[in-house]
Amino acid sequence: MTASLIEIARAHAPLLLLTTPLLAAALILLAPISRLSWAIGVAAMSGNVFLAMDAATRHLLAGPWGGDGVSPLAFDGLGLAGAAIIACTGALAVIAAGAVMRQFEPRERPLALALSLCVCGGWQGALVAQDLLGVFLASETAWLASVALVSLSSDRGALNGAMRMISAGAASAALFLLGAALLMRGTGVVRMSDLPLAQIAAPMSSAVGAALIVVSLAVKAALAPFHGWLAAALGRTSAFAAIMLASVGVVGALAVTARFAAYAIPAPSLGESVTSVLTALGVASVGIGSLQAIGAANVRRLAAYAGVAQGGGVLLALGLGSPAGFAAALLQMAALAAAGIAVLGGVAASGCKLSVDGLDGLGRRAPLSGAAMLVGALSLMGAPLTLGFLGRWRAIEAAVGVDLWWSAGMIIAASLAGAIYAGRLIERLYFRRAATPTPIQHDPWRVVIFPVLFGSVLALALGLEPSVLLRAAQAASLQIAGEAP
Amino acid sequence: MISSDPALLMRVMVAAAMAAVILGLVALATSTNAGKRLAGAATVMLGAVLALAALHAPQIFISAATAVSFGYAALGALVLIRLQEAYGDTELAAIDAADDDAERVGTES
Repeated sequence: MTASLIEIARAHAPLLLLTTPLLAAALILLAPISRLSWAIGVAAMSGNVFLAMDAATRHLLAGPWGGDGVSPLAFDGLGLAGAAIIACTGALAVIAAGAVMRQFEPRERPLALALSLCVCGGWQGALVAQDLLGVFLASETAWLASVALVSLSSDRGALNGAMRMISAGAASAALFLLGAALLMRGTGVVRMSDLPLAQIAAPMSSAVGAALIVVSLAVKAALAPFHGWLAAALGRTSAFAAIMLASVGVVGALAVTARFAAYAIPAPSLGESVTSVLTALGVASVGIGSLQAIGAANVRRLAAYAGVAQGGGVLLALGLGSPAGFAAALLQMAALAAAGIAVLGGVAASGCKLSVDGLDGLGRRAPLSGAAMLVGALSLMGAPLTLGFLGRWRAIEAAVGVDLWWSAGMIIAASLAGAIYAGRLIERLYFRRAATPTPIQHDPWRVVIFPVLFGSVLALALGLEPSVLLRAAQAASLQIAGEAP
Repeated sequence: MISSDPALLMRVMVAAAMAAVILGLVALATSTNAGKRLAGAATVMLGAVLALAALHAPQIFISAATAVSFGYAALGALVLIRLQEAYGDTELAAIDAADDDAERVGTES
């Protein structure tokens, strides 16, 4: 009985990845007490983690695999790897919600959890949707849920961030629709997997359409120069919304960008425009994000700008257009998601002030939170033996492999800038003494965030023994590239 | 005189759609009032839906785009109302100044 249920779940895993969080969100709104809502959310996301990791193990690690066929929701290499990252980070964020839910009004707690599940389900749906309409609808569901989640904060400053997200999201949605219309008219295809073999009737308008879709997704991934909304939203919203936005929202948009690029780059007439846009946005994000992270005086804004710089590294790797570049981008996305949870989760667990000087001496006052933030900061700067290092190293190898030395130079420059802003975090944590220490909170539910911090640290420590991760990333990138002519 | 040439009609519709999108994007980028930004968001989405129709996108795509446009308008209106209630203003400069003041007080305390 159990075995047959598991087989059914496996057969419909792409559909379940989308619907389980959405159904759980509906159930949560019906639950009478907020702790029961949290338990439902954790159960739903644990199921998602099982489904995604099971599919990743069977398809990416068990040998050659040709994709899931022609259904509207199906796994492909990069989509599956991205969905696994989103499922894991989403589950960690929902577990962490148990510790930080008190920041919401009691009647708003179930709503916040339901919205967070819509964010996870939306981005997972966009990663398994096969046609442009599915990607659009799923990513907009995730985005609108993110806006609502940000605006739920008791701090009125979060409303300012939410309004910026509405503006950015509407511009992004319009660009996606325009791009999709031009692409569909020029190529005659709706399914992304048909792009590499499409007979392109109008090369110029198709190329513009593909470029517009990449720009649209870059707005949602908070890549420079479209990243203003992220710092505004993260700076003043609740800790839970900040973790969800930084580790699920941004990484989800990056993964969808990677997936679209993997189909568009091999297509005749589209590849050049897509790689040019990816590279330009990547260079801008690395430069602008790094400079703003160095100057940031608020920990959450520092994390936001660091995320922009790391996202730029992902785009530079994608812009290489090679399977090695896509594999490096996947590793960088995983590192970004785990570092986001470690740093923002550490801040939430300690309950320290959000200004950078609030971290002074925190490593001694809150050793577990401090250790998680330390590992997150080390990964952000690309220190050896961390997942961040592995992603950067693979990106440099991929860039050198296609003779793009300047791209390798940009990735090294991003690491050097990371050493400055992440080094500043570490210096504050362990080498300063607080003038007026913030008292550490003693809410008993706070303990549930520590397994989350441990999980993120464990993920970042995968840089110590990366063989399984490397195999999965390589298989994911080759599966789409292998379909290209 | 109204032309019945479908190609010309399509060009006119695409031009109108592009004009609406550009107008909306300019409003989003330059408006200093949250209400005007919301109007810009509505205009940019309207232009995108018009472009889909002009370029003969599938009907379901147009319906989905219209639904998402309503989603943005509804959520935007809610946020706008809450901004007015919380700050007593919808001018973004005044809201930013109030946030900066609140952050400074929080840092000093």
